[in-house]
Amino acid sequence: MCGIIGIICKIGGLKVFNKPLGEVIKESLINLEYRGYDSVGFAIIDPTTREMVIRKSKGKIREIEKRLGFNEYDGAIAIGHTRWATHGKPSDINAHPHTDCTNAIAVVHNGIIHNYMEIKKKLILKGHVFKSETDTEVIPHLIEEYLKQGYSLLESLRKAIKEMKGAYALALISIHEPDKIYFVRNVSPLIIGVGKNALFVSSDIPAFLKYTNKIIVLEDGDFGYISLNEIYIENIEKGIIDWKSKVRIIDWTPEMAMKAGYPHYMLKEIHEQPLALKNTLMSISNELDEISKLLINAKRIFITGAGTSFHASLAGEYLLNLIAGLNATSFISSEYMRFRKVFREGDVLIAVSQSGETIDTLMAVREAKKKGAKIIAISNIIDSAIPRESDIAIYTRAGPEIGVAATKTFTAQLLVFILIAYKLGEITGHEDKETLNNINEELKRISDITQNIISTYEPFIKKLAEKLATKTNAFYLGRVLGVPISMEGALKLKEIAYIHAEAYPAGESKHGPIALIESGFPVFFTILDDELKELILGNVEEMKARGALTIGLVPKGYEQAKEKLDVVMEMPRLTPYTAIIPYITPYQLIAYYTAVTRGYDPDRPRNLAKTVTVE
Amino acid sequence: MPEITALILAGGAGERIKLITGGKPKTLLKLAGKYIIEYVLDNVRNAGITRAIMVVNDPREYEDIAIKYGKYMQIDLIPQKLPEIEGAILSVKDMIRSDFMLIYGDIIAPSDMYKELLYMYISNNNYGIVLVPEEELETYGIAIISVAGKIQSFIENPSRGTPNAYVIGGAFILPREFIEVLETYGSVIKALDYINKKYRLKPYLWSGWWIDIGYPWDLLRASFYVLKQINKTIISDNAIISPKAVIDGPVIIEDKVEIDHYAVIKGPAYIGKETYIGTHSLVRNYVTLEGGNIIGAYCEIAWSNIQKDASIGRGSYIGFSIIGSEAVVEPGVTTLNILPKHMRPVRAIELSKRGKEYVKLGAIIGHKARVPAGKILKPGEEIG
Repeated sequence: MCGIIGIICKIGGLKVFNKPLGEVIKESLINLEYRGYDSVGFAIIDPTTREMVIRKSKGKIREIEKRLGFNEYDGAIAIGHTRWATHGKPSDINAHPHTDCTNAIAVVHNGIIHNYMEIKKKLILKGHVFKSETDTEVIPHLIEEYLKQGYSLLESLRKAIKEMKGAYALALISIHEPDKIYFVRNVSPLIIGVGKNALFVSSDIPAFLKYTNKIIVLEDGDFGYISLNEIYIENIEKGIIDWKSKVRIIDWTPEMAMKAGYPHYMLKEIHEQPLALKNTLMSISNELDEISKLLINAKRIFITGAGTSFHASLAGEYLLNLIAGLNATSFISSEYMRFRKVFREGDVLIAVSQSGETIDTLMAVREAKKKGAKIIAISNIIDSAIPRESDIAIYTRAGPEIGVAATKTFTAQLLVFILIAYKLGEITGHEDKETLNNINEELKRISDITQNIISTYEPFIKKLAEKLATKTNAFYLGRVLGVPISMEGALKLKEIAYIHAEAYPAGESKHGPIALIESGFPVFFTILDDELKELILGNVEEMKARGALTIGLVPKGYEQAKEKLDVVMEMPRLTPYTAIIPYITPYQLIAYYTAVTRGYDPDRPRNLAKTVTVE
Repeated sequence: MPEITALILAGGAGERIKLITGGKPKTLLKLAGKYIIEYVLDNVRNAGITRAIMVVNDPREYEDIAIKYGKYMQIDLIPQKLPEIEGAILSVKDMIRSDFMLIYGDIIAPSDMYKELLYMYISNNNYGIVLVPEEELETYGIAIISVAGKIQSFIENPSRGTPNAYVIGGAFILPREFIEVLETYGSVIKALDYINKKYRLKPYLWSGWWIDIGYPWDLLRASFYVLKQINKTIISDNAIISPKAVIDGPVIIEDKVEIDHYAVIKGPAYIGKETYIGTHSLVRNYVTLEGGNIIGAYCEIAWSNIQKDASIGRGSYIGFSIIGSEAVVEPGVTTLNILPKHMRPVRAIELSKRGKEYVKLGAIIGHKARVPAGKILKPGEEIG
């Protein structure tokens, strides 16, 4: 997904918006960041020289805004783009806008043009010079070609649409007609905003809602242009469209659109997990061989991350121990200082960061690297800082995660660790063939299994949350692989429902924490289908005896546990290794629904930011 | 702006709640001083819709409401000619000429649910449907969701535990074509399936509160959410409240209410017009007295919905119960509430107080019913 914006205004941005048009473009793009944020760019026609100015770069808007200098450019017409690379690298060259050979036409585009190779070859033969690897770049060149043949811009666009196959939305400006923004909508969304002294065209309403609430939603096959005196919409099949009857006035908040289909990002992202797992599983292949080679030859293995990524790191450590029989040390990345004199050549550090920009993790990476260690990065953002500074990067394909509480990226990180441990297990032969086969089989179904758990327990948890909403404390207990899952469950409850929660290995209860238990104190038990499950029942009993409200995630059909617990959620019978993925989802839902019941906004936890880039 | 019409289904028999309604439509039951249908109309209004068609059993019963809301929207009252939801929709088939919002009139939820569904339609041209996570699948129609979050199919009366199922939430935005398809197939579920295959209905998963008024007990859950929104005490100037009475807010007290000496009202609660509360009575939280009620001296009422003109005789205890309009509870009646922990009927209310868990269930006393003096009602008992 990408976000596009086009703005045309009277005289210039400073007169209409009280700020340079470049600045307005930037603000619009920030509101489209939920659609992607790995590269940014804009094109503006210089009002004095009438030349096309292109500024673009990879990176998040807020990080590169100074370099691109949005506020240094004013004018009356501009287009902008924010990109989310799914195939191919985010890079300065691949960033939008793209131009034709003469730098007269600039295009921003969201979607795919399936037959772009064909068109590209044809255009190259005619002498066009391409700069990027993108499909988008064929658009300006194709238009340029038709213009050369003597067609008008509108006519050229119409011809181009007929030639390009795929799903796309685009905005186009040209120095030949500096008073018009041309557009096309074909499957990918595109909306026109009609203001008093400015018109907009964008992938979504939030991009311009600050300036106008009068909109026209374009339909598939619509194309045309906006200018200050005229709006022209034509449909490739239906002909000219009477746009006046399609103007709508809305009174919504900018946020509603971005969450399409859900009241909160967090719920949306919880529900996107099956797809995130599926995409991650499909995309990983060769890098696994390289990574396992590096790890098998490592003298020592370290794993680091912060927050949720640390919990994935801890799970990673356990998985390497259990499946591959390898020792590993996981640590919270801000504590890297203690290893300063420990890292040395031959070591491998696995750095886990959703954003790839977490400062503590980045510092740990630099420290280890300085001492000669090799670095493996696990990140959700292609080519972000940590992957860039690493020897090998492996990516989760969870898509943009906007909710501050990490959900889908956590399960995707767990999946990556399971895959790594599995690959190493094959080499070391630590686990028997049958178990490895089971893991393999289970991973094939993991997406469906997770989906099933989410939908099965969502109504149950919605009800349970009414009870939990009145609590002030909670414990999350597990043993071995159940520990990182419990820790992540507790973190979720803390960070969005503001209920104090603590997680620790269940065996520790009698060494202190049990003193806190009183009547109705909720205690969650993460009971996996392993040889420890009977031991954990002892922990259930000791909590129950003191009046705790015991809630358990239990392997299906484990009757003994069902008798002992007050509240039971039956989980699929899987090896404990893959089970950790579906097991975390009820905890995410519990935190979400408890927060909602308590009247908090799960997307805006107080005192927290999504990516921590300061120490 | 092209108008979208709300088609509100407010007719139907309401068999499961008949004891309380006495055969009148359930959308005309009262909850904290408003008719159920008024909650729906408020939501429609808040979503920005200005035209509504209401399908009702008898338009005369809704005239006053239509006039009241006529200030905000154009309302047509149409009598339901054929039975069931299908019949209700087909009763107005000639009046729907373009895309429309279909709304079940017996569902109460915050207006954001409708607003955001409409947003998806306006911003992206998506036809959509509200889905809710509910456990009792078997009493609803459901949608099955795919791994990619799309709707795969619709099922009528599924078995409990059907995987990947979400309950149809009673709000839809559909093309006019839906009505033609409904006429052909004769079933909402089949018609939805057809429309979904053709246009890809976009699900809107609603995670907030959502109550389908089907059983009398649903009124209690609804009053919990509705009363929770009251954040300060509002007392009508025309109410007569003894200086010795204790009003421990938030409570809404309407016109001509009389509260006698030493009565205690603990909010959140709603005391409707012309209600009398006798001396030394205790009205606890989540009680709604819908108006014209007479509560004798020394009564206690906890978490109950008392419809209009019902009276409760002196020395009675009514908890977790629903009393129909014009019912008479004679003096000294007691409802038993506490269920053993292992018994958890779905409609019971689970409470935790002072660290202890309770499962509570009271009685249903029907429209115009009379409970003889001194009677003890067991949890779940129904008096017709």
